[in-house]
Amino acid sequence: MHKHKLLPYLLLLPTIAVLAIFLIAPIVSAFIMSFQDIPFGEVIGFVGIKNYRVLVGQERFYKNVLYTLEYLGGNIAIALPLAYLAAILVSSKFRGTVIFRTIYLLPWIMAPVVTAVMFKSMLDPACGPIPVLLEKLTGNSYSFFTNPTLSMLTIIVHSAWRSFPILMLFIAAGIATIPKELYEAAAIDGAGPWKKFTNITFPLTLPQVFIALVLITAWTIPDCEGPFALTGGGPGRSTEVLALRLFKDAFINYNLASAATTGVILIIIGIAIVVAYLHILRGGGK
Amino acid sequence: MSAKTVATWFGLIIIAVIVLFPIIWGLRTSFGPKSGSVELIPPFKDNYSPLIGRGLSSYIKNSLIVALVTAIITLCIALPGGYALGRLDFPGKKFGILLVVFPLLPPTALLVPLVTYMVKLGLYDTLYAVIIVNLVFNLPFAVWTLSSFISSIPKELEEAAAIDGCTTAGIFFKIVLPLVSLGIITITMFVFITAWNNYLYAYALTQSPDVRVLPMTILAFMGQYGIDYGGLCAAGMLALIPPIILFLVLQKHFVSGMTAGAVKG
Amino acid sequence: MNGRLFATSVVVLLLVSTGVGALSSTASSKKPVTIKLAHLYDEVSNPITYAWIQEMIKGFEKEHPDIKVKQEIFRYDRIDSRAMMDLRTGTRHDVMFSTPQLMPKHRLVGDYISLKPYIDKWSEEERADFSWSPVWNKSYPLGIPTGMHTRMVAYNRDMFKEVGLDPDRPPQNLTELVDYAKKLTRDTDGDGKIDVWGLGMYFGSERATVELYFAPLLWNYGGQLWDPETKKAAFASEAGVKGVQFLYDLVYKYRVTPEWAASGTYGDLERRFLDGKYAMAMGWGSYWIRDLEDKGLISGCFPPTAECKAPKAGVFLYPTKNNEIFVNTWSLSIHKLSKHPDESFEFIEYVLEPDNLLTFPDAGLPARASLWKRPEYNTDFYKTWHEAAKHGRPMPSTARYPELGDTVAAAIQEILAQKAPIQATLQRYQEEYNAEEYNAAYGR
Repeated sequence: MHKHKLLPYLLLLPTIAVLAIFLIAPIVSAFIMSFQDIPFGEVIGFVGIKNYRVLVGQERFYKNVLYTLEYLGGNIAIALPLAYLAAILVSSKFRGTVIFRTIYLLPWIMAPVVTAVMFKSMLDPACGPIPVLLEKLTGNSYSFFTNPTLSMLTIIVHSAWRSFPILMLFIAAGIATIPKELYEAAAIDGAGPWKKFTNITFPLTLPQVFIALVLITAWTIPDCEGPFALTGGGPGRSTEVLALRLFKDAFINYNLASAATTGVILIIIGIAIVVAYLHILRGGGK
Repeated sequence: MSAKTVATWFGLIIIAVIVLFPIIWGLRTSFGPKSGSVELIPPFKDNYSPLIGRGLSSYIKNSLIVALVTAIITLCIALPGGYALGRLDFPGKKFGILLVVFPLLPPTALLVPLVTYMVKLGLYDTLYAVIIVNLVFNLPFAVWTLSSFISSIPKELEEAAAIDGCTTAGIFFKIVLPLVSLGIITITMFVFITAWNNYLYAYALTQSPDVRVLPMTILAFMGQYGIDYGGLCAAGMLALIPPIILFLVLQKHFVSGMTAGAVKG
Repeated sequence: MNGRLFATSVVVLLLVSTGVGALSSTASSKKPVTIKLAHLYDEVSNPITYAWIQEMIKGFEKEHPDIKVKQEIFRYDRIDSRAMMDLRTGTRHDVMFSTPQLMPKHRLVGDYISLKPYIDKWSEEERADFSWSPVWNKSYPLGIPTGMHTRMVAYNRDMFKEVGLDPDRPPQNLTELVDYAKKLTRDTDGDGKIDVWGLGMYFGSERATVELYFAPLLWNYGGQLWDPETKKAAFASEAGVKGVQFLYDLVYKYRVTPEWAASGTYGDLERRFLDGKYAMAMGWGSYWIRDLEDKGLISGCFPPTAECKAPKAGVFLYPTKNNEIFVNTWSLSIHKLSKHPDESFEFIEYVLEPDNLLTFPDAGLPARASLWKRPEYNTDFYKTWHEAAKHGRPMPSTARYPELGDTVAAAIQEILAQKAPIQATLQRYQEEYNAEEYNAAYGR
């Protein structure tokens, strides 16, 4: 067989070049900044791990991390099953599914700011439709943005609502590659829909599930637009995810060292979670 | 109708309601009075024609340029890379998993060094900078996802073609590409939408009105003294139109890709 | 096609486009001097002020044919941090809008030049024309105010009459404020739920909560947000606790303010007052005078005329001990990296000409003392605003003001939304703020 030894490297060259030129330098720079003292935008010296010590020593920091994990966990818990369900439904061979698939894409196509404002308006305590409906149904008045639990639930639901369409697309692409014969054989063996799912659909779409998990993690962990537009971190600090704190530090407080430090910590958390996925899925899948 | 059909339709409709409820509320708000929503059917206030009259078209044009060019270039770079990573064997292939790390980088933390860099390159305040940064942040994920799709194609097909005398490039274009067309389209849509809605890089890298993109205008409706709900929702609805057109165009390929995948064994 | 050729051509494409980009951006700065104006007004969402900016630019370019003005648009809440960030990235700006509360930070970052040399060339009366307001002291000499924004308590005169209150005699102190509010809180359609709230407030996640709702009460009880001697936050004092207690009681004891005042955005306050959900609205800004006019509650007041009448809505001073209320504005500054400070200042002077300044839609109230002498600003309605402006008080002079605002707002939100213990919560947030030990210099 004729195979150029260098071919893989050449094919990867543009990718590596782009990343090396534009991404590596800023990453290193941000990493270095986290060890520096930058009170007013000007570096005045190295302080070792002092920034990390200060940050980790705050009670607020632990809450930030906790809320980030809650945000991610809630997002996955809602978006992934919903996406799976939608993918299965949309993969059936009816004519109408094309329309539904287009409709389902809408939450993801809309800009995050627009969807956040729509949710905010929908949940408006004085006149939004959801609180009004809830009050008619249960007799209790729910104030979504003054209750910490409901606020967290709101940002989670908003994010899951936005994310599930693209997850659905990936999973549907995976389902499409499953040969029909497998299902037919299972039907002959007398397997019901649930058995078909657990024995055929789920195992064979594991790579797509992995992609979906990584994608959702990659979105949710650095996501500050959604929480900022919906709750601004409130009430109090109960929806201040770490990414939101980073945003405040970088753009409102202009505290560059703290922003760099928070950024590095965010990256570490993200990597840890993805490594966890790898262990669970690769270990369990094969 | 079989029970399965009924159940499927039921599920489809329920999800559609969940998806559409906030959007219809947003649509209603966009028709409402400027200062926010009160009644169920608001007095109609035209939030749309003022938008169309003023510079919105230039913002849409800029956004289209950024999103389309980013998607195309990303695809051009990611395809060969994804093939190499997904199909070919070479020392160092293991490091490909590092690509998964890149999407986790919070752009907010990297913005200051990145902007300085762009200024030094002389690209600051141009659409080039916005395109490049969007490209850079989408590339790792595109490469990795494509490699995942490609590696899930049965090797036998390629080996059969190689035995028939096909070159590596021929295998790529005649066998691999059609089978991953579904994945390619998904990635294209993904990159397009991410670039279309992206606010952060455009904000940090530009300042002149002539390179302003749509998300910046939409965000501007969250003003100093309150949110202009009606205007924001109206602008948001208008911003939906180009992506939907793109999707409708790509949908045809999507359908054929799905059915093709289901038929092949 | 060959994979190698393909890859190479992509790399070449990238390099070429980089080169072209570099070329095109260096070709812009030649002949007539071009200065840049960084403003906050997006054409689509803020057309009125955007149009004013275009007029200013056109008028200026006509008078100064050798100077061209190029625009840059930023968000109102990012323009200051952008000025600071660009000092570091090397991006140059010329004229910029700036925020007075952040001037201590600007002073330390050094991203604006001192305008003192230019202002010293002004006549004595010109300087006096600006320096009467507290805003001037905050911005000087890094920025010059373009207007003035202050806040009062707006009230619905018709509702006053409906419950038997004299609309010409609004509350004069905090006790009366609560009494009036109690009378005004009503269930108008008999469904057992309150439809009109007596006193609208805002305790959300924005600085406005501190600037407009907490600080005046803190000052009423003799406290301060930040101690300039110890350079530490001082809001968890006895005065602070009393202040928050008052706000807390409004919601939970007297029940004249709804619970959801602790959520949403500042703009919700305006919306609800105009929709008749609030009988009185504290923190009503001068930027909302136009909306009162649009809704027909006042007439002839925006644009201001000598026939300004306020038949349906009125405003009164904050009924605190010294009526102190936060006052601020947008000021104009020149960026450190500007290559044409003289021309930039000429543009600033053009905008500051009385007749131009008068037409600035985002000015609120006049910055110049001389403008206040005009008949259209001497109607009863505007005289009240003038009183409020004279009782203006700025925010503390610390470079860490954004963090301070964020911290105190979060504390108040937590207390009001979760009924947390006042003293303990304030103490906790104050300690968090004061414990920031990034470096000694930062405490300035």
